[in-house]
Amino acid sequence: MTAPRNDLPSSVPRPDGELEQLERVWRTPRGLRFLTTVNNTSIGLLYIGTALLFFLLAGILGLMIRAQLALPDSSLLSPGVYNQVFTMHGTVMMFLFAIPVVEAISVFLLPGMLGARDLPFPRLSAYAFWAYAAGGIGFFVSLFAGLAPDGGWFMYPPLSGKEHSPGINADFWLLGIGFIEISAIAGAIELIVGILFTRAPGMMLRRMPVYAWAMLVIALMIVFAFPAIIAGTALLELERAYDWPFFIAARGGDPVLWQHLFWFFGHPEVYIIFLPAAGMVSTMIPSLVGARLVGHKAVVIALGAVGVVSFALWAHHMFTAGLSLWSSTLVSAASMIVAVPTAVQVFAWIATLWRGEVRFNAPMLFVLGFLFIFVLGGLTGVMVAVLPFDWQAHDSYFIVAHLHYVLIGGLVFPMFGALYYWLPLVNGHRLSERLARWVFGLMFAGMNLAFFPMHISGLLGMPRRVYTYSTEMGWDALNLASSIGALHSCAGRAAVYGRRRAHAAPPQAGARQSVAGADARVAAGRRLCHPQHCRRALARAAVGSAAACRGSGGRCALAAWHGHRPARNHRHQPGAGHAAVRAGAARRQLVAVRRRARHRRLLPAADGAHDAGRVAVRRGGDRVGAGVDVAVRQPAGACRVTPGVRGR
Amino acid sequence: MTAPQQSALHPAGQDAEVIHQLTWILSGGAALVFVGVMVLCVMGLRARREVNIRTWLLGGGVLLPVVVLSALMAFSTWRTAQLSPLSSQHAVKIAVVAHLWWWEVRYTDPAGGPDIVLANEIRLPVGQTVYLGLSSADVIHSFWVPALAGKVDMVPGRLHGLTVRADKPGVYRGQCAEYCGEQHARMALHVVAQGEGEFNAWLAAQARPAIGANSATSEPAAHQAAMGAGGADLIAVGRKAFAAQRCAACHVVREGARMAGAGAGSGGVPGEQATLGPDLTHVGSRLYIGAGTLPNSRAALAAWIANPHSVKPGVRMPAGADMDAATLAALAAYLEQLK
Repeated sequence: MTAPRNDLPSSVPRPDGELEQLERVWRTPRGLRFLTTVNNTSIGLLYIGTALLFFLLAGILGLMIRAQLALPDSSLLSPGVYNQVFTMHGTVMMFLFAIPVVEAISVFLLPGMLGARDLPFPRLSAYAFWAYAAGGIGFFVSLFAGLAPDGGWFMYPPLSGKEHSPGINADFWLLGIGFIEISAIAGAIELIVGILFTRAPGMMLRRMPVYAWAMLVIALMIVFAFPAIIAGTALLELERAYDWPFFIAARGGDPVLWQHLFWFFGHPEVYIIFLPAAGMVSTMIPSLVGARLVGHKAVVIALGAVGVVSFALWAHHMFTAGLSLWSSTLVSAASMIVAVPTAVQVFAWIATLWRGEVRFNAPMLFVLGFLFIFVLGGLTGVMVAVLPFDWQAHDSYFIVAHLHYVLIGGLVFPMFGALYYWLPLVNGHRLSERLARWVFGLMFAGMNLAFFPMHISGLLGMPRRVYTYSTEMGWDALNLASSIGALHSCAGRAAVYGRRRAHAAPPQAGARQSVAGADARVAAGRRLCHPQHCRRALARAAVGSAAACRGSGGRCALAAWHGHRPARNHRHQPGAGHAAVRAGAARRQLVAVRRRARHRRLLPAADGAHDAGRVAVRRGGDRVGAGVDVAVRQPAGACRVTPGVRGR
Repeated sequence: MTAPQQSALHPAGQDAEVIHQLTWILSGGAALVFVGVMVLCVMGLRARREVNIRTWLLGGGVLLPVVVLSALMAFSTWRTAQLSPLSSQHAVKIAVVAHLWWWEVRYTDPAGGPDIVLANEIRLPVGQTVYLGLSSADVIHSFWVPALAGKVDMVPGRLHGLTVRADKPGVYRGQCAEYCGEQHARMALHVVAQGEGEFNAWLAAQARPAIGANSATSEPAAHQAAMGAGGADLIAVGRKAFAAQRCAACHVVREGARMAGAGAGSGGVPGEQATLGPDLTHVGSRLYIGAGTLPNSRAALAAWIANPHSVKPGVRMPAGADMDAATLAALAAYLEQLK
């Protein structure tokens, strides 16, 4: 029995071999046994990696589409192959990339942010990942056998029914998507329980990071939205396999039923994809500009409002399907209402930019790109919410443009920003800033060149999902521009894949001890802690991420983002110093947390000279429990500790 | 003939005009908001300054969209109410049935005869309201002639209506807008808007059975003169080929009470004809063949019959490439003169 340690909450003597046993249990399995890992960090990385792989594959399919459409009457792809390619592009992007990647990122990030050691059901997250990986890969390889589904990503029957799609192509779709749906729901349950029950002590819901709120909202949305598509796919498979005519009009079925089931899931899905990205943006912007998020509470309410309203919009995908004018008008109004909470978030982000000081590093570029693209996509979204306009724009290239603006703006750009922002948590490295400018420039310019002209080609009458067009239609130049843009955009993305570890560790990034996942890793893998005790320590470390960063003596992996501006900009906010004094209780608490954390070597010891006075908690009422936000409540630059700074 | 317009930005009908105006208002408004938001964004890039949360979130986030969107909703509801009401009263009635991948078009005969059936082409009198009854024989299609009106889906088991009015004479192209399988891209139709007299004459001609079908003597003299005796022979050969090649298994050519080589089962009952393929009674009068795939000409007809899959892979029509060149030419000549 080792002697009781007085810094542990429990004074019970420690059992022998505790350290070895804990290390063994938490050790990440090596070699092939790595596949049995259940830890959220490892699963998260596998999950993210697989989602990015599908992103790459679907991107290649997108390039094939653009190659075919670059010239009129092109015979590069046969119509049959083209139809498989565009169906797979849409399905893979939506089901195998977008939804999985948002869950994957949260599996990786969320426990650390909540101060939890892992997700509550590690095996469930492993199951969600493997169901997804197996379903996804099995589904994708159908393309190489020429058996890929070709009914479009929303697979409207009767086209996808047995009569018009007699092959097993559509069955691949139904089976593959079935796996993904189960995986998504498993992941959602895990996230809900994780967020509601495994937060750090003191992290009350109203102090939870915005990202965690976003994930809570979308996890609930998944639980309500996905059963509709599960029902839909089950009915369609029953029809195909056992000839139960759910969607065959001549035998009493109704093809419009599928549309309702599909879009009841499909529309919330758009927000399931966007809200986590919005949460990431709300988390990144404050730390990137060194200012608190404007309207934390309003942003959280907005997230919830979007989640609720998004269930009233599904029929706006069916404005031309013969619904009554009355119900269409209601849905049209609801589609406009959803713009309000979204506008609240956009203005909160912009106001935060005003409040802070923007430095043009890689994550910031992507965040600004996101604002540009997403706002444009949102505005065209308002346009298509107007009934008569939608009757023209629906199922034309205008919609293709709109949806790519919303999804690339609403997911891909924030995701790339997040990749640049959080990558140090994975391997202690940042990606090259110089290359990042190229990546961003190519992606941003290419994306706009690819998709902006589609607004016009759509209004000039080009329907979506056509494998070719004649030159007399006058769409040649617009399509060529789109294809060139798509190529540029993909070149930009490829640059990221090409140079993963382009940049050496930043000078100060020797330690991995930092917020979130890194803490979890450290504790999970290497530290001896009583579980309960460990959880608290982690919680505090996560909560006091600012302290973690500051306390790291400049070795924080995220120090680069928390503030590496030139010393001349190191200035407190007007009055911040006084606020710090006023913030007595909060400050003392924060300092205490840090001291304890350091004591346990969760955080490296820093020279103690600079702690107390520099904790500039701006509001007396703010307490440590405010999670990641704490990080940004300090004047930017406080993070990096230099003798010069210390002198002030 | 200039290329027919298929553009929502070049309206030729009342409803399309309203939507066109709405398009510009919406685009202008969206551009304005976009520029405004981007300017705010750019202004936030450098200076660090205090922000009034209430102004930003309540003013920008709530008040601005609520005011703008309420105005937009009111305006669009008002404009929507001005679109032509959906009614077949006092309208020319046309039924359009979508097939994989062509359009069956049926006119009610004003003389009380059986429906006048044609394919892939709709003619309308300018300035008159036209009611289109839209349905589908197989999968979901969507009827979209951007120059005249927005699109309406054609769903199996349902009948949707659409009222249009063309205000300018011209040819307007339409295209299936709901993905319907392999040849979704080559499923177009042409709408010809013409003066009322012209339209009535055309409709009367369409109601008549095929000319020159039964015997050379039934052909109008002028036509025969133009064709010459050799032409008449060629047409007779082509007509025989039409029967011999089993074209009539899918296609109908109305010849009075009888069909040319009418398929077994269709029995020559007017209105109860084979609809596997387009009605060819007046195929020569159409602007395009293959649902907008090729401009109509004798050469195009011959090429199409020889191998429709070279221009429209996957089309249900079998290739007739095993026909000898003379038969093919005769068949094309026969079809071409079915004006």
